[in-house]
Amino acid sequence: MNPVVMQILHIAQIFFLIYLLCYATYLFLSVAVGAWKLYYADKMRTIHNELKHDYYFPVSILVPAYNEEVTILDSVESLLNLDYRLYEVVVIDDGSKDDTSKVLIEHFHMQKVSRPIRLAVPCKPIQEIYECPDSRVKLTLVKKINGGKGDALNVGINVSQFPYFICIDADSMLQTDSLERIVQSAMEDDDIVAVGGLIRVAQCIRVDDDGKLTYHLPWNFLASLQVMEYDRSFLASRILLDGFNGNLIISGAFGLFKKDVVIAAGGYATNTLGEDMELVAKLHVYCRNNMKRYSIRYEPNAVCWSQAPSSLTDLMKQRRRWHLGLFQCMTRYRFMCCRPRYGFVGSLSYLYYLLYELLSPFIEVVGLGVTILAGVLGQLNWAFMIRFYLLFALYGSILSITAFFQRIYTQKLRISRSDIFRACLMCLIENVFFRFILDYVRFTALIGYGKKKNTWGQIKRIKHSETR
Amino acid sequence: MRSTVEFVIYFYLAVCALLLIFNILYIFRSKLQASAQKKRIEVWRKAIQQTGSSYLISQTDLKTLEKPEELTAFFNALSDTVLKEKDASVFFISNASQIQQLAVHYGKLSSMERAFMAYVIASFHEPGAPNAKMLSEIMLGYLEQSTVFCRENVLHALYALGSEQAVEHAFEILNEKGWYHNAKLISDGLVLFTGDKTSLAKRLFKHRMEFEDSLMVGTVQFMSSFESGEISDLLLEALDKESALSLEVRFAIVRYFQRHVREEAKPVLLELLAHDSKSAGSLSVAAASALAFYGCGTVKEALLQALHSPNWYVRRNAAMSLQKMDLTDQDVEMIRQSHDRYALEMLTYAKEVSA
Repeated sequence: MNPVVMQILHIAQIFFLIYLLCYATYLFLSVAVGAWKLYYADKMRTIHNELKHDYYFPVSILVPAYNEEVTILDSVESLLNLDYRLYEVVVIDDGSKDDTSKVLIEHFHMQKVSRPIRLAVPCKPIQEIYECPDSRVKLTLVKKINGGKGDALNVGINVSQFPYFICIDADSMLQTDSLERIVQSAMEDDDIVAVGGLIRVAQCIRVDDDGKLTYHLPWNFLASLQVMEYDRSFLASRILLDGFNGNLIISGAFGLFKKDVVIAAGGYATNTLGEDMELVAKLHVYCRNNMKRYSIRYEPNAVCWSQAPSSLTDLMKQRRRWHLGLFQCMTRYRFMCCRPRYGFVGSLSYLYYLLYELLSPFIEVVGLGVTILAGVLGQLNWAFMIRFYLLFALYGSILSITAFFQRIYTQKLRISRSDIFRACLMCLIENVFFRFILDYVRFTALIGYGKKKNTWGQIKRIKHSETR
Repeated sequence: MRSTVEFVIYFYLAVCALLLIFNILYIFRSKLQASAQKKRIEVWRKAIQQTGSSYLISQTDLKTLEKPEELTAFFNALSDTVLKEKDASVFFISNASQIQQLAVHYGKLSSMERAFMAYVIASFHEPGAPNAKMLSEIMLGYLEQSTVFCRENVLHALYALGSEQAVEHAFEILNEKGWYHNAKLISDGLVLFTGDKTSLAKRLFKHRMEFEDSLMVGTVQFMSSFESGEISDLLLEALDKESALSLEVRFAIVRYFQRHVREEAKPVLLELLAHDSKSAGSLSVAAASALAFYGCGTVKEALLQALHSPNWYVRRNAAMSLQKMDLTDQDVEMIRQSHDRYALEMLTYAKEVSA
């Protein structure tokens, strides 16, 4: 055996073992910290440790929409019926090719107005503005030239009239108390510039006629796998990173932002697919460069139900878009990496996203290559490898199921025994097989990067009432 | 190396399995706790119902109530029984010393439990009870090493107890420690103050130069919630003469005069609208809004002039204010003739909205 090859195999072995060990430690810490924090928050709420109030500050809800004629009405209707006193809803139609605007104008009897807009952040030209004169909650529709989601949100910032805004996807639904929960979080400290909410899979819920939520695992195989995945990532990773103000992502599906800080930082980027992550990274950089005290928080009790892709094609499209967005953000903010000025965000958070999110598919493929090479050269301990793989899959599954149960009891949801059984099964499948499919998608995401770097990446939408 | 990694993974796996078991047990425990809590509430309810508001907390009860879960149950039972009666004050007066003892005990517990005790007092305590002064002192002690939730509940308890001095002292503590408390929480909380609101407002306003903005803005917003000539004079003088006063507080005072129209405030507001260079126009923005309620020839003239302001918000608010007045076609024509497109489009939109 060539000693150089032996040396390479040996180094690779050490690298992969350390890599996996670090990942296992991170996962363990994140689920344990997440579980503890949720338990503590639950206890605090039970004995009235909360900023419960009749009136909070007013907020603007921005809903960017592109070809959303199927879901937009359900979404806007649900937004107009939230348990909150003072807010406005601004829908931004980003040059849809379907009847997104028409559906809204006709349903809400909206009227065209010539409202002057102050351009605090740059955006593509606005074509028309409609308002709904008789609505309890002020509803505004802005039609603009297509410019991408970031550009649509910038228009929303310009049109909105309140000092805080919430961005929400057009296919998402807020739980009735979500707005209150996310705002309560922002009221705790003046330094809070953004708060992220918890995203859950909309296919899990059904709203009865009396507005009561019932929870079931969806029958769609892919959707139920994503339930496990969402629960783990939103419970675990974000709560842990929140502990040291290190969150680099607030999902575009539901987040609250202080408008003046976002404007000062330059608003949403229009040339990226991950405008949500880009904005959070930008806020970190802006505040740290200007020595401004700030905090970016995560509120796991503010829940947003978002439709997960139900077909493999849609899922692949979505994940490719996410991975490209991550790539764009990580490369744009590479100067943050390990620079003392950026504290934990530049070190721990950035390195985590770099090594375990952006590069993980590549590292795993290299790992597979090395394993095959070692097998061919007769240097592989098959028994160890199989045991190690199964052990790791089991470990991941247990963490996922722990996260799943955490969500169930902290939200006081009831699930059937068959759902518990299916959840356990899905956790196992997700860790043994599903992650490799996603790894493949992420691995191939950068192919054709130049062509798709600025598109919305539409996935098939269905009405909320038909999601299950 | 392999064996180390394998050991660590097995170790983590074992801990995770324990975590999972903890979760499952927690779910069962929560269910059991919920039913146990129902029973506790029932026991307290039955005990209280027999005597109603004349129920006396015994020494045995006191020992039991030192446990937070028992206090929670007692609190729920009280909400369902005594507090529905009109003479709830009888209960609090006859149990004054017991409540005080409990408050002292909870003062030794964590911030979370202290917050709950403060919440109980805030929810149920009657103003003017004999132990109000002592309880206020104890509540102030709760502020040491407190969370924002504890501070909020303590402030609410102090508002319920009705002592101006204690509220002022609490604000001083918040200010000294540099603890942020949202202005909205302050203003809405102060409205619940059971003592003399005017006197409290004056007492707090004396600290306008030293208190943090959120405390003072909250105080001024609280002042807006009631009518008082004395307060108006005080605020007007501060707005007119104290240019060193924080911009946020001055902004809040301008908003006060939007809600409480005083002829004497008009020249000050007009001055702010026309010559607010110090705050880069922020006070002009508020003044343009407030002047909508001071309709007269001079005000209209000033607002028409403000339509040409370089500040977008001043133009918008001036247009909206003008719309609330009797805006004539001649006025609109005058703006059109001025060839200021920005002024005209703002006025056009204001007319559309009102139509």
